[in-house]
Amino acid sequence: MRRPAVATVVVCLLALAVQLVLLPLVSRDLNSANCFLALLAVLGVRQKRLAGVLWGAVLGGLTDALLMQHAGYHGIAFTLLGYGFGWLGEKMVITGRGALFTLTFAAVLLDAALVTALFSALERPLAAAVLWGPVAVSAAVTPLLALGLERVYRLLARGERP
Amino acid sequence: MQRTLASRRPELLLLLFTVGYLVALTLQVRRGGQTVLGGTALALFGPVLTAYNSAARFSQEGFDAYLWQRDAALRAEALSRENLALRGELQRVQPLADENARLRRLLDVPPPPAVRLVGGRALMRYGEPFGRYLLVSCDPAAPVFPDTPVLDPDGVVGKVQASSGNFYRVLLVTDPSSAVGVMTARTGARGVAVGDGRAIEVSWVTNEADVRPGDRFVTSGEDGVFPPGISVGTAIAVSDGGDYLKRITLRPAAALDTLTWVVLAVKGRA
Repeated sequence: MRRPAVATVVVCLLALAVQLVLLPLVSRDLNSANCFLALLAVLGVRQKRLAGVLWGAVLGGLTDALLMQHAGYHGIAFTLLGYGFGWLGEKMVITGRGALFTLTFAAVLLDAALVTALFSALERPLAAAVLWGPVAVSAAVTPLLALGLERVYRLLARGERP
Repeated sequence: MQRTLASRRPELLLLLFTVGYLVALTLQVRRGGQTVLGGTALALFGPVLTAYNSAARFSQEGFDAYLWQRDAALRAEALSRENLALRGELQRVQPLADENARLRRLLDVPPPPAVRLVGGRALMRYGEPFGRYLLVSCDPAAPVFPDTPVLDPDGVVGKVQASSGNFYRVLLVTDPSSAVGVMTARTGARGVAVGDGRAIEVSWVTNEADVRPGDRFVTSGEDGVFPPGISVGTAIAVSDGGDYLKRITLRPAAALDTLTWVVLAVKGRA
């Protein structure tokens, strides 16, 4: 059995459970944290651009299906971010927690910016006051989730060299 | 080329997904009753379509206007001819329409009881100053006898005095030798209407009777000639006389000067 594949499946299921069950149970405010973005960060930096794009498209579509009224906002953002993660993964080996935290943090901000821009362009403008709180929570929690998923992935895919 | 595409597969896929998601979004998000994609397409292609449509319409309308102008003189001439023909037709038809209206009014005359109305054509008035007669022609098979009442839509015209073939001489109600039993429709005051040449005088109405100018006089039926209830005339002058009898003048109800069609009230059920 290929350990990375198993680890990937497990962290996917884990991310799904955390996003749908754990975060709402802990606090409604944590709903803005995005476990799928954390998962994309964990998986994306281990893949190449092509896989990164595919993961981004899939996880973005899933995020939209679960969190948004219309599918496509996170789909676009995650696809671009997945490409970016894949590109970074091709250029360098990211192993440190600080680097992953920083990448995920930046990804949260980029995702929020992209989704806000698309939403404002296609539907209606959003007031900044509405955005700051959820984005701050997401920017703080999502990188932590990414660190947690990274830990689990490493435990399951022991011996894998990212 | 193939190698380039293979090496750029991630970017192509990125583009594909991004565009795909964007299209999906524009298909889902609705603004102003239509999807964003529909609105965008309309905004992009609307001016082009409008310009094309305007140009096509301008060309068509311009060509139509040219044809219209080119044929205007011919159409005007044809219309003038048609107008002339229609005027001639109107000259011919208008009298028929008037006659038709008169006949329709005649048909509305309520038939007196136990009589049958027979139509007749008023041919001419004659006999003045010695008499006031009307020559009438009608169906010779109709049982018309002397003293048959003759009416028009407005009232009593006179009565048949003599006949020859299908021609009948009618003694008008304004003739001095004519006498018709009358009464006022309002109070029932009775008298005898006698012609004075142009109007009708009512005699044998006492001064006590309630008669006023404007009262309508109808046949009373007492003369045995005219059925009761038919208009004879309207009082235009009423005054008390020294012989205890009123002087009453009527304007004839029938249009005696313009008669064209009359009806003869012959005896027998309609």
